[in-house]
Amino acid sequence: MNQIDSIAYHSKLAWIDPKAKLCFSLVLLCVCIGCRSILVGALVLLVTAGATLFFARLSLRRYLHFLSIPLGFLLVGTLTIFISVYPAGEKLLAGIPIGGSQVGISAQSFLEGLRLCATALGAVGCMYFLSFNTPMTGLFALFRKSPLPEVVVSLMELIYRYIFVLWEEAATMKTAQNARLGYQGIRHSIASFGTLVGTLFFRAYQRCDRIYSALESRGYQGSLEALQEEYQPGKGWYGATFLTAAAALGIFFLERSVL
Amino acid sequence: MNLIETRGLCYSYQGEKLALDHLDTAIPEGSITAFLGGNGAGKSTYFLNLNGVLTPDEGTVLFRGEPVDYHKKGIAALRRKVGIVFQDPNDQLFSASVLKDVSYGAYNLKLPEDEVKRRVSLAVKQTGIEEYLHAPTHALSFGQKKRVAIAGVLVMDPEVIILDEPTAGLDPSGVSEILNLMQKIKEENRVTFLIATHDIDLVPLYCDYAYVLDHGRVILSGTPKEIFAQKEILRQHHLRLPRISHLMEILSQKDHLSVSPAASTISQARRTIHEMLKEEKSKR
Repeated sequence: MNQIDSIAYHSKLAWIDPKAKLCFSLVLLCVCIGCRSILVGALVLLVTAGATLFFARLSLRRYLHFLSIPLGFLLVGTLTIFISVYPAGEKLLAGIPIGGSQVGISAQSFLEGLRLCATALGAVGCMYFLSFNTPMTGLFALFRKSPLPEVVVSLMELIYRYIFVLWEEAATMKTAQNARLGYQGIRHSIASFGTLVGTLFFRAYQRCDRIYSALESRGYQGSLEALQEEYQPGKGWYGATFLTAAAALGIFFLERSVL
Repeated sequence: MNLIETRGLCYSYQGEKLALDHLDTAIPEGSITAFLGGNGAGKSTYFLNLNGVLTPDEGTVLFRGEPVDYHKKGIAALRRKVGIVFQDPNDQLFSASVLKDVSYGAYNLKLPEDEVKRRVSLAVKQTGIEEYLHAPTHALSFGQKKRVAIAGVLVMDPEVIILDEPTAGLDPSGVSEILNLMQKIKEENRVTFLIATHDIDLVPLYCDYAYVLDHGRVILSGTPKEIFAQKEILRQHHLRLPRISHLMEILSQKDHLSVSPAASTISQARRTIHEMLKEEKSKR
Protein backbone atom coordinates (compact mmCIF):
# COMPACT_ATOMS: atom_id res chain seq x y z
CA MET A 1 0.00 0.00 0.00
CA ASN A 2 2.82 2.37 0.92
CA GLN A 3 4.55 1.59 -2.37
CA ILE A 4 1.52 2.35 -4.51
CA ASP A 5 0.97 5.57 -2.58
CA SER A 6 4.48 6.79 -3.15
CA ILE A 7 4.41 5.81 -6.84
CA ALA A 8 1.25 7.88 -7.29
CA TYR A 9 2.86 11.02 -5.86
CA HIS A 10 5.80 10.66 -8.22
CA SER A 11 3.78 9.95 -11.35
CA LYS A 12 4.05 12.38 -14.26
CA LEU A 13 0.26 12.56 -14.14
CA ALA A 14 0.05 13.30 -10.40
CA TRP A 15 -0.97 16.91 -10.95
CA ILE A 16 -3.33 16.32 -13.88
CA ASP A 17 -6.99 16.90 -13.11
CA PRO A 18 -8.07 13.74 -11.23
CA LYS A 19 -11.47 13.93 -12.92
CA ALA A 20 -9.91 13.19 -16.32
CA LYS A 21 -8.04 10.18 -14.96
CA LEU A 22 -11.10 8.90 -13.14
CA CYS A 23 -13.12 9.23 -16.35
CA PHE A 24 -10.47 7.36 -18.35
CA SER A 25 -10.24 4.45 -15.96
CA LEU A 26 -13.95 4.17 -15.12
CA VAL A 27 -15.17 4.30 -18.73
CA LEU A 28 -12.65 1.66 -19.79
CA LEU A 29 -13.56 -0.42 -16.77
CA CYS A 30 -17.23 -0.37 -17.75
CA VAL A 31 -16.44 -1.18 -21.38
CA CYS A 32 -14.16 -4.02 -20.34
CA ILE A 33 -16.66 -5.59 -17.98
CA GLY A 34 -19.59 -4.92 -20.30
CA CYS A 35 -18.02 -6.61 -23.34
CA ARG A 36 -16.62 -9.69 -21.58
CA SER A 37 -14.43 -10.37 -24.54
CA ILE A 38 -10.88 -11.71 -24.61
CA LEU A 39 -9.69 -9.19 -27.17
CA VAL A 40 -11.31 -6.19 -25.45
CA GLY A 41 -9.85 -7.28 -22.12
CA ALA A 42 -6.42 -7.60 -23.70
CA LEU A 43 -6.71 -4.22 -25.40
CA VAL A 44 -7.78 -2.44 -22.21
CA LEU A 45 -5.00 -4.11 -20.22
CA LEU A 46 -2.47 -3.18 -22.90
CA VAL A 47 -3.54 0.47 -23.03
CA THR A 48 -3.82 1.01 -19.28
CA ALA A 49 -0.64 -0.93 -18.51
CA GLY A 50 1.24 0.95 -21.21
CA ALA A 51 0.04 4.29 -19.90
CA THR A 52 0.91 3.32 -16.32
CA LEU A 53 4.39 2.10 -17.26
CA PHE A 54 5.10 5.28 -19.16
CA PHE A 55 3.56 7.93 -16.91
CA ALA A 56 4.13 6.40 -13.48
CA ARG A 57 7.69 5.48 -14.54
CA LEU A 58 7.33 1.89 -13.44
CA SER A 59 9.56 -0.87 -14.71
CA LEU A 60 7.76 -3.77 -16.41
CA ARG A 61 9.05 -6.09 -13.72
CA ARG A 62 7.57 -4.01 -10.96
CA TYR A 63 4.27 -3.71 -12.78
CA LEU A 64 4.11 -7.47 -13.33
CA HIS A 65 4.83 -7.93 -9.64
CA PHE A 66 1.83 -5.77 -8.78
CA LEU A 67 -0.26 -7.57 -11.40
CA SER A 68 0.63 -10.92 -9.87
CA ILE A 69 -1.02 -9.94 -6.58
CA PRO A 70 -4.61 -10.37 -7.86
CA LEU A 71 -3.48 -13.19 -10.19
CA GLY A 72 -3.54 -15.71 -7.35
CA PHE A 73 -7.15 -14.91 -6.51
CA LEU A 74 -8.01 -14.99 -10.18
CA LEU A 75 -6.55 -18.45 -10.69
CA VAL A 76 -8.36 -19.90 -7.72
CA GLY A 77 -11.58 -18.26 -8.87
CA THR A 78 -11.39 -19.45 -12.49
CA LEU A 79 -10.15 -22.95 -11.76
CA THR A 80 -13.69 -24.27 -11.40
CA ILE A 81 -14.64 -22.69 -14.71
CA PHE A 82 -11.67 -24.13 -16.57
CA ILE A 83 -12.05 -27.62 -15.15
CA SER A 84 -15.33 -29.52 -14.91
CA VAL A 85 -16.62 -33.07 -14.95
CA TYR A 86 -17.81 -34.43 -18.30
CA PRO A 87 -19.38 -37.75 -19.33
CA ALA A 88 -16.88 -40.23 -20.75
CA GLY A 89 -16.34 -40.04 -24.49
CA GLU A 90 -16.85 -36.28 -24.85
CA LYS A 91 -14.07 -34.56 -26.76
CA LEU A 92 -11.83 -32.56 -24.44
CA LEU A 93 -8.64 -30.52 -24.79
CA ALA A 94 -7.18 -32.35 -21.84
CA GLY A 95 -8.67 -34.66 -19.27
CA ILE A 96 -8.28 -37.68 -17.08
CA PRO A 97 -10.94 -40.38 -16.95
CA ILE A 98 -12.21 -41.12 -13.48
CA GLY A 99 -14.62 -44.00 -13.27
CA GLY A 100 -17.50 -43.54 -15.71
CA SER A 101 -16.77 -39.87 -16.37
CA GLN A 102 -13.78 -37.63 -16.99
CA VAL A 103 -12.41 -34.47 -15.44
CA GLY A 104 -10.80 -31.92 -17.73
CA ILE A 105 -10.90 -28.81 -19.89
CA SER A 106 -13.14 -28.57 -22.91
CA ALA A 107 -12.65 -26.08 -25.72
CA GLN A 108 -15.68 -24.15 -24.58
CA SER A 109 -14.73 -23.99 -20.91
CA PHE A 110 -11.21 -22.99 -21.91
CA LEU A 111 -12.55 -20.03 -23.90
CA GLU A 112 -14.92 -19.09 -21.10
CA GLY A 113 -12.10 -19.16 -18.56
CA LEU A 114 -9.82 -17.08 -20.76
CA ARG A 115 -12.61 -14.57 -21.29
CA LEU A 116 -13.05 -14.19 -17.57
CA CYS A 117 -9.32 -13.82 -16.96
CA ALA A 118 -8.96 -11.22 -19.69
CA THR A 119 -11.90 -9.22 -18.42
CA ALA A 120 -10.61 -9.32 -14.85
CA LEU A 121 -7.07 -8.35 -15.81
CA GLY A 122 -8.35 -5.53 -18.01
CA ALA A 123 -10.36 -4.24 -15.05
CA VAL A 124 -7.33 -4.51 -12.78
CA GLY A 125 -5.33 -2.56 -15.35
CA CYS A 126 -7.92 0.26 -15.20
CA MET A 127 -7.83 0.42 -11.42
CA TYR A 128 -4.03 0.28 -11.39
CA PHE A 129 -3.88 3.14 -13.84
CA LEU A 130 -5.99 5.23 -11.48
CA SER A 131 -4.18 4.28 -8.29
CA PHE A 132 -0.64 4.52 -9.69
CA ASN A 133 -1.23 7.96 -11.18
CA THR A 134 -3.59 9.68 -8.76
CA PRO A 135 -2.52 10.76 -5.27
CA MET A 136 -5.31 10.24 -2.74
CA THR A 137 -5.42 13.97 -2.04
CA GLY A 138 -6.52 14.46 -5.65
CA LEU A 139 -9.37 12.01 -5.23
CA PHE A 140 -10.48 13.74 -2.02
CA ALA A 141 -10.58 17.06 -3.87
CA LEU A 142 -12.78 15.37 -6.46
CA PHE A 143 -15.06 13.82 -3.83
CA ARG A 144 -15.53 17.22 -2.21
CA LYS A 145 -17.12 18.47 -5.43
CA SER A 146 -19.27 15.34 -5.73
CA PRO A 147 -22.63 14.93 -3.96
CA LEU A 148 -20.94 12.80 -1.26
CA PRO A 149 -21.67 14.26 2.19
CA GLU A 150 -18.96 16.51 3.57
CA VAL A 151 -18.57 14.44 6.72
CA VAL A 152 -17.85 11.27 4.75
CA VAL A 153 -15.12 12.94 2.72
CA SER A 154 -13.62 14.51 5.87
CA LEU A 155 -13.57 11.11 7.53
CA MET A 156 -11.88 9.59 4.51
CA GLU A 157 -9.22 12.28 4.61
CA LEU A 158 -8.55 11.85 8.32
CA ILE A 159 -8.46 8.06 8.05
CA TYR A 160 -6.06 8.22 5.13
CA ARG A 161 -3.78 10.63 6.97
CA TYR A 162 -3.73 8.68 10.21
CA ILE A 163 -3.32 5.23 8.65
CA PHE A 164 0.31 6.20 8.15
CA VAL A 165 0.72 7.52 11.68
CA LEU A 166 -0.80 4.39 13.22
CA TRP A 167 1.17 2.19 10.87
CA GLU A 168 4.42 3.81 11.97
CA GLU A 169 3.47 3.50 15.60
CA ALA A 170 2.55 -0.17 15.19
CA ALA A 171 5.79 -0.86 13.37
CA THR A 172 7.85 0.72 16.16
CA MET A 173 5.96 -1.25 18.80
CA LYS A 174 6.41 -4.47 16.88
CA THR A 175 10.14 -3.88 16.60
CA ALA A 176 10.30 -3.21 20.32
CA GLN A 177 8.42 -6.46 21.02
CA ASN A 178 10.64 -8.35 18.60
CA ALA A 179 13.71 -7.01 20.34
CA ARG A 180 12.44 -8.70 23.51
CA LEU A 181 11.67 -11.96 21.66
CA GLY A 182 7.95 -11.30 21.64
CA TYR A 183 7.26 -13.25 18.46
CA GLN A 184 8.91 -16.58 19.14
CA GLY A 185 6.36 -19.32 18.81
CA ILE A 186 2.65 -19.10 18.19
CA ARG A 187 1.62 -18.54 21.81
CA HIS A 188 3.98 -15.63 22.28
CA SER A 189 3.06 -14.18 18.92
CA ILE A 190 -0.65 -14.20 19.70
CA ALA A 191 -0.11 -12.61 23.11
CA SER A 192 2.24 -9.95 21.73
CA PHE A 193 -0.04 -9.13 18.85
CA GLY A 194 -2.95 -8.75 21.25
CA THR A 195 -1.04 -6.30 23.42
CA LEU A 196 0.05 -4.40 20.35
CA VAL A 197 -3.48 -3.96 19.06
CA GLY A 198 -4.76 -3.02 22.52
CA THR A 199 -2.07 -0.41 23.03
CA LEU A 200 -2.63 0.93 19.54
CA PHE A 201 -6.33 1.43 20.24
CA PHE A 202 -5.58 3.19 23.48
CA ARG A 203 -3.00 5.48 21.90
CA ALA A 204 -5.30 6.25 18.99
CA TYR A 205 -7.98 7.25 21.46
CA GLN A 206 -5.58 9.56 23.30
CA ARG A 207 -4.40 11.02 20.03
CA CYS A 208 -8.00 11.84 19.12
CA ASP A 209 -8.17 14.33 21.96
CA ARG A 210 -4.95 15.98 20.93
CA ILE A 211 -5.96 16.19 17.28
CA TYR A 212 -9.23 17.77 18.30
CA SER A 213 -7.47 20.38 20.47
CA ALA A 214 -5.08 21.14 17.63
CA LEU A 215 -7.94 21.54 15.16
CA GLU A 216 -9.85 23.74 17.58
CA SER A 217 -6.86 25.98 18.15
CA ARG A 218 -6.77 26.65 14.42
CA GLY A 219 -10.41 27.64 14.33
CA TYR A 220 -12.15 24.33 13.53
CA GLN A 221 -15.89 24.88 13.19
CA GLY A 222 -17.04 21.56 11.85
CA SER A 223 -15.36 21.64 8.48
CA LEU A 224 -12.00 20.42 7.23
CA GLU A 225 -12.12 22.43 4.05
CA ALA A 226 -9.11 24.48 3.02
CA LEU A 227 -7.17 25.41 -0.09
CA GLN A 228 -6.98 22.62 -2.65
CA GLU A 229 -4.05 21.80 -4.85
CA GLU A 230 -4.37 23.20 -8.34
CA TYR A 231 -4.45 20.65 -11.14
CA GLN A 232 -3.56 20.96 -14.79
CA PRO A 233 -6.54 20.31 -17.05
CA GLY A 234 -6.49 16.79 -18.48
CA LYS A 235 -8.28 17.45 -21.77
CA GLY A 236 -6.18 14.94 -23.72
CA TRP A 237 -7.40 12.18 -21.44
CA TYR A 238 -11.01 12.61 -22.48
CA GLY A 239 -9.89 12.14 -26.07
CA ALA A 240 -7.87 9.08 -25.11
CA THR A 241 -10.88 7.69 -23.26
CA PHE A 242 -13.07 8.14 -26.31
CA LEU A 243 -10.57 6.61 -28.72
CA THR A 244 -9.80 3.57 -26.61
CA ALA A 245 -13.45 2.94 -25.80
CA ALA A 246 -14.36 3.24 -29.50
CA ALA A 247 -11.57 0.84 -30.49
CA ALA A 248 -12.68 -1.62 -27.82
CA LEU A 249 -16.30 -1.49 -28.93
CA GLY A 250 -15.19 -1.83 -32.57
CA ILE A 251 -13.26 -4.98 -31.72
CA PHE A 252 -16.17 -6.27 -29.70
CA PHE A 253 -18.67 -5.96 -32.56
CA LEU A 254 -16.18 -7.28 -35.12
CA GLU A 255 -15.49 -10.29 -32.93
CA ARG A 256 -19.21 -10.93 -32.55
CA SER A 257 -19.99 -10.77 -36.25
CA VAL A 258 -17.08 -13.08 -37.08
CA LEU A 259 -17.80 -15.72 -34.43
CA MET B 1 3.06 46.36 28.21
CA ASN B 2 2.03 42.82 29.00
CA LEU B 3 0.48 41.13 26.03
CA ILE B 4 -0.87 38.22 28.04
CA GLU B 5 -1.55 38.09 31.72
CA THR B 6 -3.18 35.46 33.86
CA ARG B 7 -4.51 36.14 37.34
CA GLY B 8 -5.26 33.32 39.73
CA LEU B 9 -5.75 30.90 36.86
CA CYS B 10 -7.11 27.54 38.02
CA TYR B 11 -7.94 24.54 35.90
CA SER B 12 -8.65 20.91 36.66
CA TYR B 13 -9.42 18.06 34.32
CA GLN B 14 -12.86 16.62 35.15
CA GLY B 15 -12.75 17.88 38.71
CA GLU B 16 -9.56 16.03 39.62
CA LYS B 17 -6.82 17.79 41.52
CA LEU B 18 -5.83 21.17 40.17
CA ALA B 19 -3.67 21.00 37.07
CA LEU B 20 -3.22 24.76 37.33
CA ASP B 21 -3.24 26.18 40.83
CA HIS B 22 -3.75 29.96 40.98
CA LEU B 23 -1.28 30.75 38.26
CA ASP B 24 -0.15 34.37 37.93
CA THR B 25 1.86 35.09 34.82
CA ALA B 26 2.66 38.14 32.73
CA ILE B 27 4.12 37.92 29.25
CA PRO B 28 5.64 41.16 27.88
CA GLU B 29 5.00 41.93 24.23
CA GLY B 30 7.76 41.01 21.80
CA SER B 31 9.56 38.70 24.22
CA ILE B 32 10.44 35.04 24.17
CA THR B 33 9.37 33.46 27.43
CA ALA B 34 10.33 29.95 28.43
CA PHE B 35 8.23 27.67 30.61
CA LEU B 36 10.30 25.12 32.46
CA GLY B 37 9.08 22.23 34.53
CA GLY B 38 8.90 18.48 34.53
CA ASN B 39 6.19 16.44 32.86
CA GLY B 40 2.81 17.15 34.41
CA ALA B 41 3.92 20.56 35.69
CA GLY B 42 0.96 22.14 33.88
CA LYS B 43 2.68 23.75 30.91
CA SER B 44 0.45 22.27 28.23
CA THR B 45 -2.70 22.92 30.25
CA TYR B 46 -1.62 26.53 30.73
CA PHE B 47 -1.08 26.94 26.99
CA LEU B 48 -4.46 25.47 26.10
CA ASN B 49 -6.04 27.97 28.51
CA LEU B 50 -4.32 30.87 26.75
CA ASN B 51 -5.74 29.81 23.41
CA GLY B 52 -9.29 29.19 24.63
CA VAL B 53 -9.27 25.46 23.94
CA LEU B 54 -9.72 25.03 27.69
CA THR B 55 -11.82 27.41 29.78
CA PRO B 56 -10.41 28.25 33.22
CA ASP B 57 -12.32 27.08 36.29
CA GLU B 58 -11.31 30.21 38.14
CA GLY B 59 -9.26 33.31 37.51
CA THR B 60 -8.86 35.33 34.35
CA VAL B 61 -6.78 35.43 31.22
CA LEU B 62 -6.14 38.96 29.97
CA PHE B 63 -5.09 39.72 26.42
CA ARG B 64 -3.76 43.29 26.03
CA GLY B 65 -5.28 44.04 29.40
CA GLU B 66 -8.76 42.89 28.36
CA PRO B 67 -10.26 39.80 29.98
CA VAL B 68 -10.93 37.07 27.43
CA ASP B 69 -14.53 36.72 26.35
CA TYR B 70 -15.45 33.04 26.33
CA HIS B 71 -18.36 33.38 23.96
CA LYS B 72 -18.02 31.97 20.49
CA LYS B 73 -16.87 35.22 18.90
CA GLY B 74 -14.38 36.06 21.62
CA ILE B 75 -12.85 32.59 21.45
CA ALA B 76 -12.51 32.79 17.69
CA ALA B 77 -10.76 36.16 18.00
CA LEU B 78 -8.44 34.80 20.70
CA ARG B 79 -7.48 31.79 18.59
CA ARG B 80 -6.63 34.05 15.72
CA LYS B 81 -4.24 35.99 17.94
CA VAL B 82 -2.72 33.06 19.83
CA GLY B 83 -1.39 30.18 17.76
CA ILE B 84 -0.17 26.89 19.21
CA VAL B 85 2.37 24.58 17.63
CA PHE B 86 1.91 21.22 19.32
CA GLN B 87 4.73 18.96 20.41
CA ASP B 88 3.93 16.11 18.06
CA PRO B 89 3.36 17.49 14.56
CA ASN B 90 1.33 14.37 13.76
CA ASP B 91 -1.34 15.67 16.14
CA GLN B 92 -1.51 18.93 14.26
CA LEU B 93 -1.15 17.95 10.62
CA PHE B 94 -4.54 16.46 9.87
CA SER B 95 -4.33 16.51 6.10
CA ALA B 96 -2.23 14.43 3.73
CA SER B 97 -1.81 17.54 1.59
CA VAL B 98 0.80 19.94 2.98
CA LEU B 99 -0.70 22.86 1.08
CA LYS B 100 -4.14 22.16 2.48
CA ASP B 101 -2.84 21.83 6.01
CA VAL B 102 -0.90 25.07 5.89
CA SER B 103 -3.88 26.99 4.54
CA TYR B 104 -6.41 25.55 7.01
CA GLY B 105 -6.14 28.23 9.72
CA ALA B 106 -6.34 31.10 7.24
CA TYR B 107 -9.25 29.43 5.47
CA ASN B 108 -11.14 29.26 8.75
CA LEU B 109 -10.79 33.02 9.14
CA LYS B 110 -13.11 33.30 6.11
CA LEU B 111 -10.60 35.45 4.25
CA PRO B 112 -10.90 35.93 0.49
CA GLU B 113 -9.09 33.19 -1.42
CA ASP B 114 -6.41 35.52 -2.78
CA GLU B 115 -5.51 36.62 0.72
CA VAL B 116 -5.35 32.98 1.89
CA LYS B 117 -3.01 32.19 -0.98
CA ARG B 118 -0.86 35.24 -0.28
CA ARG B 119 -0.49 34.27 3.37
CA VAL B 120 0.25 30.66 2.52
CA SER B 121 3.02 31.58 0.11
CA LEU B 122 4.50 34.01 2.68
CA ALA B 123 4.46 31.40 5.45
CA VAL B 124 5.84 28.75 3.12
CA LYS B 125 8.73 31.01 2.15
CA GLN B 126 9.45 32.05 5.72
CA THR B 127 9.57 28.50 7.05
CA GLY B 128 11.44 27.22 3.99
CA ILE B 129 9.05 24.41 3.08
CA GLU B 130 8.67 25.21 -0.64
CA GLU B 131 10.39 21.98 -1.58
CA TYR B 132 7.87 19.68 0.00
CA LEU B 133 4.73 21.76 -0.38
CA HIS B 134 3.36 19.21 -2.85
CA ALA B 135 4.63 16.08 -1.12
CA PRO B 136 2.24 14.05 1.05
CA THR B 137 2.50 14.81 4.76
CA HIS B 138 3.43 11.24 5.65
CA ALA B 139 6.52 11.39 3.44
CA LEU B 140 8.06 14.25 5.48
CA SER B 141 10.65 13.88 8.21
CA PHE B 142 9.89 14.93 11.78
CA GLY B 143 11.72 18.23 11.41
CA GLN B 144 9.98 18.99 8.13
CA LYS B 145 6.61 18.28 9.71
CA LYS B 146 7.48 20.67 12.52
CA ARG B 147 8.13 23.44 10.01
CA VAL B 148 4.87 22.72 8.24
CA ALA B 149 3.09 22.92 11.60
CA ILE B 150 4.68 26.33 12.25
CA ALA B 151 3.67 27.54 8.78
CA GLY B 152 0.11 26.38 9.53
CA VAL B 153 0.04 28.71 12.54
CA LEU B 154 1.79 31.61 10.79
CA VAL B 155 -0.94 31.92 8.15
CA MET B 156 -3.33 33.05 10.87
CA ASP B 157 -1.03 36.05 11.41
CA PRO B 158 -0.98 35.58 15.19
CA GLU B 159 0.44 37.99 17.74
CA VAL B 160 1.55 35.16 19.99
CA ILE B 161 2.95 31.79 18.99
CA ILE B 162 3.19 29.04 21.57
CA LEU B 163 5.72 26.30 20.87
CA ASP B 164 5.24 23.18 22.95
CA GLU B 165 8.62 21.40 23.17
CA PRO B 166 9.92 22.85 19.90
CA THR B 167 13.22 20.97 20.06
CA ALA B 168 12.04 17.55 21.24
CA GLY B 169 12.89 14.76 18.82
CA LEU B 170 15.07 16.88 16.53
CA ASP B 171 18.71 16.32 15.66
CA PRO B 172 21.23 19.03 16.68
CA SER B 173 21.07 20.89 13.38
CA GLY B 174 17.27 20.60 13.40
CA VAL B 175 17.22 22.17 16.87
CA SER B 176 19.21 25.21 15.88
CA GLU B 177 17.22 25.57 12.64
CA ILE B 178 13.93 25.66 14.52
CA LEU B 179 15.24 28.10 17.12
CA ASN B 180 16.70 30.40 14.47
CA LEU B 181 13.39 30.24 12.64
CA MET B 182 11.71 31.31 15.87
CA GLN B 183 13.99 34.33 16.19
CA LYS B 184 13.49 35.25 12.55
CA ILE B 185 9.71 35.13 12.95
CA LYS B 186 9.94 37.13 16.15
CA GLU B 187 11.84 39.89 14.38
CA GLU B 188 10.05 39.87 11.03
CA ASN B 189 6.48 39.43 12.26
CA ARG B 190 6.91 40.97 15.72
CA VAL B 191 5.46 37.88 17.31
CA THR B 192 5.65 37.15 21.03
CA PHE B 193 6.78 33.59 21.74
CA LEU B 194 5.98 31.26 24.61
CA ILE B 195 7.90 28.03 24.66
CA ALA B 196 7.72 24.98 26.87
CA THR B 197 10.99 23.15 26.95
CA HIS B 198 13.11 20.62 28.76
CA ASP B 199 16.18 21.94 27.01
CA ILE B 200 17.53 24.24 29.70
CA ASP B 201 20.61 25.20 27.72
CA LEU B 202 18.58 27.06 25.14
CA VAL B 203 16.94 29.31 27.73
CA PRO B 204 19.87 31.72 28.33
CA LEU B 205 20.58 31.77 24.60
CA TYR B 206 17.14 32.55 23.23
CA CYS B 207 14.78 33.59 26.01
CA ASP B 208 14.12 36.96 27.61
CA TYR B 209 12.10 35.58 30.50
CA ALA B 210 11.44 32.25 32.08
CA TYR B 211 8.92 30.66 34.40
CA VAL B 212 9.45 27.55 36.43
CA LEU B 213 6.25 25.60 37.04
CA ASP B 214 5.63 22.61 39.26
CA HIS B 215 2.30 21.01 40.17
CA GLY B 216 0.49 23.83 38.41
CA ARG B 217 2.12 26.58 40.45
CA VAL B 218 4.69 29.23 39.57
CA ILE B 219 7.86 28.40 41.48
CA LEU B 220 10.18 30.99 39.97
CA SER B 221 9.90 33.73 37.41
CA GLY B 222 12.19 36.36 35.96
CA THR B 223 15.02 36.74 33.50
CA PRO B 224 17.14 33.64 32.86
CA LYS B 225 19.87 35.22 34.97
CA GLU B 226 17.53 35.63 37.93
CA ILE B 227 16.18 32.12 37.55
CA PHE B 228 19.55 30.43 37.32
CA ALA B 229 20.76 32.28 40.39
CA GLN B 230 18.26 30.15 42.38
CA LYS B 231 19.97 26.85 41.77
CA GLU B 232 18.78 25.18 44.98
CA ILE B 233 15.12 25.80 44.14
CA LEU B 234 15.68 24.60 40.57
CA ARG B 235 17.17 21.37 41.82
CA GLN B 236 14.35 20.82 44.27
CA HIS B 237 11.98 20.89 41.33
CA HIS B 238 13.91 18.38 39.21
CA LEU B 239 15.53 20.98 36.99
CA ARG B 240 19.17 21.81 36.58
CA LEU B 241 21.40 24.71 35.64
CA PRO B 242 22.52 25.18 32.05
CA ARG B 243 25.73 23.18 31.53
CA ILE B 244 27.82 26.32 31.23
CA SER B 245 26.40 27.78 34.45
CA HIS B 246 27.13 24.52 36.19
CA LEU B 247 30.71 24.63 34.97
CA MET B 248 31.08 28.22 36.15
CA GLU B 249 29.65 27.26 39.51
CA ILE B 250 32.22 24.48 39.91
CA LEU B 251 35.08 26.70 38.73
CA SER B 252 34.22 29.43 41.16
CA GLN B 253 33.26 27.33 44.20
CA LYS B 254 35.47 24.27 44.01
CA ASP B 255 38.45 25.65 42.15
CA HIS B 256 38.16 29.18 43.57
CA LEU B 257 38.69 30.79 40.21
CA SER B 258 37.38 34.31 39.94
CA VAL B 259 34.89 33.66 37.12
CA SER B 260 31.36 35.03 37.23
CA PRO B 261 28.98 32.20 38.18
CA ALA B 262 26.21 34.06 36.35
CA ALA B 263 27.70 33.27 32.93
CA SER B 264 25.32 30.80 31.30
CA THR B 265 26.17 30.85 27.61
CA ILE B 266 29.38 30.09 25.76
CA SER B 267 29.99 33.73 24.89
CA GLN B 268 29.40 34.90 28.46
CA ALA B 269 31.72 32.20 29.76
CA ARG B 270 34.37 33.18 27.26
CA ARG B 271 34.13 36.80 28.34
CA THR B 272 34.45 36.07 32.05
CA ILE B 273 37.38 33.68 31.50
CA HIS B 274 39.16 36.30 29.40
CA GLU B 275 38.60 38.86 32.15
CA MET B 276 39.93 36.47 34.75
CA LEU B 277 43.07 35.82 32.69
CA LYS B 278 43.63 39.55 32.21
CA GLU B 279 43.36 40.11 35.94
CA GLU B 280 45.86 37.35 36.66
CA LYS B 281 48.30 38.90 34.20
CA SER B 282 48.02 42.35 35.70
CA LYS B 283 48.50 40.90 39.20
CA ARG B 284 51.79 39.45 38.11
